[in-house]
Formats: sequence, structure tokens, C-alpha cells
Amino acid sequence: MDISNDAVRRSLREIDACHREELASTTEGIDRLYQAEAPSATKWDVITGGAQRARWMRVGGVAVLSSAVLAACSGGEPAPPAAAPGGPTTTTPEMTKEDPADLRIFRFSASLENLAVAAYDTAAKLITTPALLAAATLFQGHHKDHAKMFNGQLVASGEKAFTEPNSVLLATLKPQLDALASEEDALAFALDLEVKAASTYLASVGQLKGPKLSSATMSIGATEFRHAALLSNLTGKPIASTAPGFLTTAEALAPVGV
Amino acid sequence: MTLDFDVERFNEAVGENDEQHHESLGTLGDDLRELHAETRRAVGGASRRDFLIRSAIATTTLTIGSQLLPMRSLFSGVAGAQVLTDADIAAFAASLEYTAVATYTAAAASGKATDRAVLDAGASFSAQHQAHGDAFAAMANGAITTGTTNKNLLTALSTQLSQAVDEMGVVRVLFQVENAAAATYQFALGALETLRFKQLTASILPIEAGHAAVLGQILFAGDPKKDLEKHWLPPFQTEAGFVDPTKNPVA
Repeated sequence: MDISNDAVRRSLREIDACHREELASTTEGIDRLYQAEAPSATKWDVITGGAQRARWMRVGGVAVLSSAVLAACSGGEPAPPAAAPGGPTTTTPEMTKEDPADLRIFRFSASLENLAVAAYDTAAKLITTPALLAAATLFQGHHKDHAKMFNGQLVASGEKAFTEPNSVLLATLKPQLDALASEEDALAFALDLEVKAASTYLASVGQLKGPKLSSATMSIGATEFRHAALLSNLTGKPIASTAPGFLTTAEALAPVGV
Repeated sequence: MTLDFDVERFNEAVGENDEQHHESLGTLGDDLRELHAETRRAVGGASRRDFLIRSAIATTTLTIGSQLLPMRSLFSGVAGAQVLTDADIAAFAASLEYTAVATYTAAAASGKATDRAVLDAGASFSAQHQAHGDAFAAMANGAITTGTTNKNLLTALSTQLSQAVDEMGVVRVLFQVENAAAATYQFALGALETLRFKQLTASILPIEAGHAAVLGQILFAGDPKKDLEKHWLPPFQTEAGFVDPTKNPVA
């Protein structure tokens, strides 16, 4: 390689400048990942590490990657101009080619998350303790986020978003939902559903073909199990009795209805 | 400024280890820029190489502040990543688990935690970490002996435990251990290649996340808005806060 020490020094200085500048925006990006306004495609990219250097992403009106950083660091094409603060969110659509079997899992996962959202609607009517209602509302919000994530991937692959609860599972669970009569019933039902969801995502690890997808789905599966652990604690059952040591696929739901 | 930079080593590292990005890059400047682009992957697994290269970068963000990026260590991470196997990652994970066991043991012995719910949860979680450690160690092809802790990590945690002034201080340390474990396994899932390693890691990751949720409830129950979204009950498990294998190698 034909290089000079001066060239190396210049490159290192440039990198240092980029590095310092980018740290702040990356930190801010992670913070904003946790906020509702982050686009689902952005969340997916952040979770899977799929953020492309030439891709312009804005999270909640604040640039994750500034145009200056992109221009200086990527050596690629200049980034589009930033929208004004508070202006519309801009995300460049990027068509991906997921395996058809993976897309089916995404559809099922979206339908499962939509089912959880609907189930929490029903359960919330029975939850009267403010702290528990706040937790249920938070969990429901997470499930909405998860559904958006999966649907974002479907749309990016040229598929339609799956916005309805899984009809087959809903029909199966309807007798249980109809029988809920108390706050305790509602929490127990929610716990069972969260464990099933986490187990379902664990099962998908052996099924998904995309190299990063196991990581992405388990980022959601782990969240469902946080819900389960908290619900288990709130219902007086130590989490160790719900999942003794290792999560298994015993409670996984079969991918039906999509 | 003294420039401690081995051009030959750089050239070799780039040439040997560039799996995805560097094939079309022909100049040092581009290579350096591309390496820097890795910092954008604040979270998210991509490849075995990333397991260490991003560790090195993450360490940089935590420790050097405004100092120059330590390129030599970055590249040694790249070179090391080439020979990192799933068994190596399992050994690292086992060391984390055994460190968690030792931390719970020390927490119980400190006398600072007295609440029955905390003690019961600690005993239960510790037993599960022991099982996790044994499972990872069994997958590590002899790369770690059963019960081997991660020395750097244990030293850091022991210091934190000794500095904890009360029960909530102890719980906070344990909460950090669980979140760090979950983040590390999320990180590892992006680097592991063999299905059975992925499945084992994926079966343990949610358990650690669940532990963190229970400990978070103990910590933040009095103030449910505090840290609710970011750390206690985040909408997605991320790699933020993972334990860095380059800074905490298996002994």
C-alpha cells in the first residue's frame, strides 16, 4: 500500500473529528429509540445493526446521522438536506428481499402483536389498580411498537402490513377472554400470553433464515419476557416458577392464521 | 503528537479480515472512514468480526472521551475476531454467568440486603445463573473450567458492592448485572453462527431480562416513572451496556 505518514495523520484527525461528532448523535439516537415517535424502520435498523451509511434517518425530528458526518465519514454520496426541526420525519424507503418463509413469520408475529394489543384492551377494563393499569398500558404500547416493527419489514419487502389480530388465535382465546372477571384474571391471562409470545420468538430462532433476524426477534422476545416476569411477580408467582432457568419453546404458538 | 501506527499491521488486518465492507475500497483513507462507519452501529449484531470490532469502538466511546481513537487496539480486535469461535463466545458467556453467581453470593454475604423478597429473588436468580454458566461451559469445548469467573468484571462488581451503602444499593448492582447480561447476549446473537449456540443464548437472554425486570420493580416501585422506559422496561432489548469481551477477557 502506497501511503504517507502525513496521509495517515490526516485520516486519523478526520476520524477523530467524525468520531467525536458522531458520539453525541448516536447517544441521542439510542435515547430516542425508546420513544414512541421513532419510525419502525429506524428501530429495526438500530436493533439489527442494519443502518446503512448512505441512509438518511431522522428520529423524532432530530438527525441520528448528520449530513456533515455522512459527508465527511462515508465518502459516499451527500445526504439529503435535513428537514426543519419539528418538520416531517424523513425515512428513505429501502426495499429488502427477505426470504418468503421469514416474511410469513413476520406476518404471524405482527398478527400476534396485534392480538396482544387487543387482549390488553379487554384486560384493561378489569384492571382497577392504577399502577397495574399503567403497566398494562405500557406493555400494550410496546406490543404496538413491535407490530410496527414487523409491519415495517413487511412493507419494506413489498408486502402488505398485517394490522389485524390473528383471527385463528383470537378465536381460540376468545372463551378465555370472555371468562375474565377480575383484575387477577386479567393479569394471569396477560402473563400467559406474554410467556407464549416470548416462547414463540424463541422458536423462530431455529426457523428464520436471515442472518440478523434471530437477534431482532429476540430483542422483542426478551421484552415480552420482561413483561411476563413483572406480571408474574405482581400475581405472586416468582418468575422462576414460570420459567425455571431457561425459556423453552413449550409454550410457543404455531404460526397459523396468516 | 506521537503517532503510534503500524501501517503494515493495518494493511494486513484490513486485508485479512474485511468480510463485508472493504472489498471495493482501495485507499487507506476510505478504509479508515469505513471503519469509523462501524460506530454508527451503536447496537445490533452483524457478524463475528463485529463482535469484537464494535466492542473496541464501544469501549472507546466509554473510556477515552476526547482522545484519539486507539487504532492499534481496534485492529487487534479485528485480528482477534477472525479466530473467535462460537465456543469462545460461549466461554465468555460462561464467565459472565459465574461472575453473576459470585456477585449474588457476595451480595447475600454483605449483610446489606435483608428484605426477604430480595434474598429469595437473589437465591433463585443465582441458581439460574449457575445453570446458565454450566450450560455455556458445556458448549465451550474446554475453553473454560466450570466455575471460572471473569476476573475484571468481578473486581469491578466487588468494588461496587463494597461501595453500596444500603439494600437498594446492592439491588442496583444486581440490576446492572442482569441488564448487562441481557445486553451481552443480545450482542452475541448477532455474532454466533451455529444454531445450537444461538438457541441456547436465546433461551437464556429472556431469563436475564426477566431478572432485571423483577429487580427493577424492587428498585423503582416507589417511583414508577423513574427510568421506566429506558432501563427497567424498555420496548426493545438492545445491546446498550453489553459487557465488552476485549476489556474483560476470559482468564
